[in-house]
Amino acid sequence: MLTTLTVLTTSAVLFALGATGVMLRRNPVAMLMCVEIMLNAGNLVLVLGSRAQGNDAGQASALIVLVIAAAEAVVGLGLALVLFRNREPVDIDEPRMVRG
Amino acid sequence: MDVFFAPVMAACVLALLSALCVVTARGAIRAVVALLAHSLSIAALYALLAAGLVAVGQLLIYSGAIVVLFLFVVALLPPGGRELTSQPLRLTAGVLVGLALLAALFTAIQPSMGGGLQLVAPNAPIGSVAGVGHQLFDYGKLLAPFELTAPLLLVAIVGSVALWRRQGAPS
Repeated sequence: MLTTLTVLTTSAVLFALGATGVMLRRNPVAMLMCVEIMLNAGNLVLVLGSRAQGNDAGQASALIVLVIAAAEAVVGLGLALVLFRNREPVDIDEPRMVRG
Repeated sequence: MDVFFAPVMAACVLALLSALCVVTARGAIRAVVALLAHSLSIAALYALLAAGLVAVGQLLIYSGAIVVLFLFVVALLPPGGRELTSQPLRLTAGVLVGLALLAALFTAIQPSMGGGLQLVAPNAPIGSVAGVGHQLFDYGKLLAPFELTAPLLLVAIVGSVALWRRQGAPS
């Protein structure tokens, strides 16, 4: 009981922390890391729900979210590299357009 | 008292502290190392919550692949690429929105706080590879989303390679 509450609270705080980081950081790579924290928080709730309900569906969904996080990291880091190639220091608010 | 409480508490504290380090670290390398610690503590939490397969996936995909990818990108960045600091107004606004989001999330999980989130089946045999595999591959369960992740990954790889080559082509 207390264990589930702890994990649930941790997950909520992690999600809010990641969202704050996405809003505050201006380095695209750091923003992507904050998005990864938010994804981890969501995954944690899925696994916790699976444990609480005695059902494997949450864990299977968590695995799918892991794959989606990998795809997101690939595309996001590719974009970040393209931004870093031309401008320094990098500011996520600066580019108006990315060709490609 | 649950025997898992102390380890779960330790992993939660570690996850929160390392996430705070990721959000506040100035240097990119420090943020990546903090992200690695965060990913490892989350994997420990999965293992404690009877999700062994997801814990192994987290270790392989997150700690093994994604964090190393982040490290490569940080190593490829031009040296001395400093990050602009946020203006005070933006900082205040961001923290306020974060706190509002936190309040909204706690309002949402309030029903569970009062004892709504009981372990329905505390000793249910969950987390086995066969059980998770049946959820993923059985027709009518999660088969369609699982199969759709394959084209998603393909499109992501082709897209990022195309983005890089187009930008890098001599013109």
